[in-house]
Amino acid sequence: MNEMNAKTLLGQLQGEGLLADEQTLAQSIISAQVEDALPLYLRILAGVGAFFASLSFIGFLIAAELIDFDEYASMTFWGGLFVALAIAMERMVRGSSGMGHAFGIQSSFAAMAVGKTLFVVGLATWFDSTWAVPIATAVITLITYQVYRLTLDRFLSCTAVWFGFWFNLYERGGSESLFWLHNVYVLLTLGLGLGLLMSARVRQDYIPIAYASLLGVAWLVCNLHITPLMDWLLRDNLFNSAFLNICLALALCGVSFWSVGHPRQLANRDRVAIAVLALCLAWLDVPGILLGMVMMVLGYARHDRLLLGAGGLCIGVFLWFFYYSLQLTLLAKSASLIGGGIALLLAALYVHKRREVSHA
Amino acid sequence: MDTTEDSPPIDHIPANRGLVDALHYKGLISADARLHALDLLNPRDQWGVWIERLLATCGATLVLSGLIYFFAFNWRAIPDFAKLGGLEVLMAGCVALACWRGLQRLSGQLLLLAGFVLLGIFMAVYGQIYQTGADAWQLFFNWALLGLVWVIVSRFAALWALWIVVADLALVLWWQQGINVLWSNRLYIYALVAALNGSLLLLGEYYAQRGLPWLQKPWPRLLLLASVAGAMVPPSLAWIFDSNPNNAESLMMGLSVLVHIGLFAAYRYVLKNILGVACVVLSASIVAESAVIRLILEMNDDAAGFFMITLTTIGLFALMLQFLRHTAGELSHE
Repeated sequence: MNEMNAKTLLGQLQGEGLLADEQTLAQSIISAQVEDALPLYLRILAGVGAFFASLSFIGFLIAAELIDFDEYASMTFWGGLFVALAIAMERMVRGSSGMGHAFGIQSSFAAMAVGKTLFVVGLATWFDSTWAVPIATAVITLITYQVYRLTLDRFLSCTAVWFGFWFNLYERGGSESLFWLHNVYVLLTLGLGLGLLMSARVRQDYIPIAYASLLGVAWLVCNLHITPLMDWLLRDNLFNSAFLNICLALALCGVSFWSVGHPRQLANRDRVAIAVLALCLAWLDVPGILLGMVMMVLGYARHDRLLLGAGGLCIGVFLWFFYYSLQLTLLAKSASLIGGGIALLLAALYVHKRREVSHA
Repeated sequence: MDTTEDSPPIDHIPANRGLVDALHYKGLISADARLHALDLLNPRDQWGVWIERLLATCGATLVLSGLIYFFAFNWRAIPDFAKLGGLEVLMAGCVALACWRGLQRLSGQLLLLAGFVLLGIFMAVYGQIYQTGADAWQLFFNWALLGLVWVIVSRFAALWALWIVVADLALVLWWQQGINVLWSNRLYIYALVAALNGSLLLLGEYYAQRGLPWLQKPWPRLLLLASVAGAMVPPSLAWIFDSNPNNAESLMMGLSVLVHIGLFAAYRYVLKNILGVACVVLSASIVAESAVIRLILEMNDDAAGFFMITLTTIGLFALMLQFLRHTAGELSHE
């Protein structure tokens, strides 16, 4: 992929006579930018600092007995107050620079972490139900999503919502009526994640939701075969791995077709080759490989190194955990992996031949 | 104007697929302009090369993994000579094919990587069959030693990364199994790991500066840097939280400080790499934060103490955040 900035791209398009008004375009691009434009390494540093600060502040609240942790109304109220304080602090320092801005952002992030924690714990205690945890998290995330524009906060909150709902489904997994819920939940969140990343209508603001969804699906795919905690989902037929594999195969086809920009860009034989490869990997029951490839192709097409790296990591983690699966014998797993590997190598050979033909 | 008060300037905004699709969706660029822009960002040729590499790398990884699983399953049923002979044939085949394909191609490099992995499996099988009584560290040590020539000639970052993992494992296992280590000296292993990885990092940065093409991608060196800085964190925390640190712990703490200062100076003033600086700063922040927590809790371990920790944590990380921003700005102008 070519790294270039928006100005260079517009300049090249203007040079080809493909743009009418470069200035208007430039203004539109600038106004659409997400305000939290911190580089990833700064966001990680801010996140680590806010994590320590929020833990120690919760320790302060417990030690000072300022909040009655047995009284749910009090916790919910204070949680809401801290959330409001966090938003106010972020608004105050928005547009400023220097040490004041950094201090304000750190304080705001820590206050938001404390506020959301108290709010969720308060509501969960009030309703005395584990379902209240993801629902309360979803409520507070919805309320703060558009007004509190730190992408790390959005991502962490959405991830908490995903895992909260998933674990509640898992806890109740013994019921036949919930059989399809497990599968539909994964299908919907996979579709949500990919849809948000591929749709032109989606603003950058909503990309953290996509990342959280894909992280959840990746976690599920990598863990599905390994621990006794998860194995029973397959053993008791409460989760259908064939369904998951077909969804991921379709996702791989869809992402591949989308990545070239327009269906015309791919010859029929190329589309058939992609479909055959995807179905072959689905039949071999290696969902981690499928999902990893989906993420890597999507990451490359979007110039998203984070997604690209996450896809590679997903493949590596899946291969590591696949060894410990109790659902299949080592021989069956060996056949799956070698078969999948041969399919991929043949696909690589096909691409190589197609490139030679197009250069000739 | 290219900027508004709060937004980055347009030449700081990266061009990517999302940007192009959004402009097309809003009707600001035509379909032809969109396709042309996508071709500029991801030229067809580059796509083909990248897809081919992705498929080849994933395919090779899966086949190798499958072979490992196959040997694990059929372990008892396979005669000893077949175990060793089969592995030797596979290894020789991989190396021969790598020579035929050429090490300047990805396929050749992947074949050599496969050969290196098979060498490790061969060492494990050999140790199992002949029951030499050797410790696990000797397996990893011999694996790293015997494969070193292949790793050097491969000029392949992924193979180097795998070799470094094997070498580190050999070192750590030697420390645990090969010698009798006194409890008071237990932290010296971190110094050894940092020394090994640090030496390789130094070599890597030196040759990267010299322009070696296969070293230009930053990720292998950043991973090494993270391992060196990360290796200094546990001994630092041991010194901080030990109420009566011994000489070894104090020595390791001093070493940790020196290593952090040295790495910072190297990445800030010599290599001028903001990601390297950020990695060192993050590691140092964790150590500093732990020291702050210990100091404050010793003075006051009730509510006031926790409140002080909150304030100093926010202040410390805000300072680091601002420092990194300032450094990034300076480096972009240098």
